[in-house]
Amino acid sequence: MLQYGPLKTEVVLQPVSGKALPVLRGEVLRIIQEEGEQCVDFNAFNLHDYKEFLGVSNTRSRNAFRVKKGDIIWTVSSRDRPMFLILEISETCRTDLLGGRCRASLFDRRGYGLHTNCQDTLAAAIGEYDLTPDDAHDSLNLWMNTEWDSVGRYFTLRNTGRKGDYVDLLATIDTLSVPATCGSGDVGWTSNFSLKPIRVQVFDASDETLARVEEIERHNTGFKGQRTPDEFKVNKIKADRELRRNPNYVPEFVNYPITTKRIQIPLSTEELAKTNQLLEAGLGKDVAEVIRIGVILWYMRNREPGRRSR
Amino acid sequence: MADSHSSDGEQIIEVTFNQQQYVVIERLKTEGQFGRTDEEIVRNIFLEFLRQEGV
Repeated sequence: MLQYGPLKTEVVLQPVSGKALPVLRGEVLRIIQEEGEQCVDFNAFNLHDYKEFLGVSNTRSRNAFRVKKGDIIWTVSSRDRPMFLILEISETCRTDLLGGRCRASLFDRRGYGLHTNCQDTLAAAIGEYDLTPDDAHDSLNLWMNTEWDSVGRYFTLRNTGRKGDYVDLLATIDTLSVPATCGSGDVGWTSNFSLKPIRVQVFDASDETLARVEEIERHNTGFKGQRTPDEFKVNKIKADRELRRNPNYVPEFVNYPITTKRIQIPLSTEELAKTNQLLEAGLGKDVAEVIRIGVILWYMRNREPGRRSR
Repeated sequence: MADSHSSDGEQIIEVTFNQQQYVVIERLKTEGQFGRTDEEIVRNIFLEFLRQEGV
């Protein structure tokens, strides 16, 4: 386990509350089950540019439907940068990247009237930094025991969190981190039909945590598409709400238009017969397509840097 | 597909790559292990692919 810096901040989040906390590069955010069995919704923003925030779908596509120890939490696809590393996570902490966050209408339609919900809890917490309810985003859900069946139906099972369980997130950029105690759990299995508090701690950066951040940066930054707002053609944040067409705007699509190069490939009778075997197996619609797909597949399997085996 | 037969029984297959796929061929050309021309690279990589597929 890495040696963290000293404890910098500690708060207990009472049920149905949340807190926006700066957690800077190299610092560690620890989220602890105070009593157990409580789902936690987690939002996060780049402290210096709130338009860059935790990207749930980006994190999901880069890892899995659940994240685990050692996984990187990424920012949204427009920026695509590492935001946190999961340093530690209790075995009983099921993570969820599918559920988004609960909102008031879910409960009103079930007959509960105005009920606590994570959209409103997160909105109340981020208001401290002048962010609006529209800025709350889909959550990385911690201690949320969800499952899905063979046709994609999604459901929640009993919360498995135990008292003292914790998750440690190493910030790889300066963040505004927003843990919230999920407000849905008193009327479902999300938190086993009762609402409990959560303890949150922030540890200072140490030489070891900063070294780990630098290692992550070395392997995961510097790629095309990891842009800053200065690189956007339209980079001013729109201040009003109405959408109006800009008649002078000309989009710049990447590598547009797509062009092709023709390459003549000689195949012997024997090679063609082998190619036809793959054609018959459904690899392509014709021999030329089989060759093209074969070349790209070979590259993917043998030369793509850092590719996971599939 | 514009294919043709050469005199020694070989068949010539015309394969198209877009500019984004062609990056791969350029990269492999620089590597040198599979040839120097577009034709050599595509042909040799494809034969290697066939071998790996066990065909």
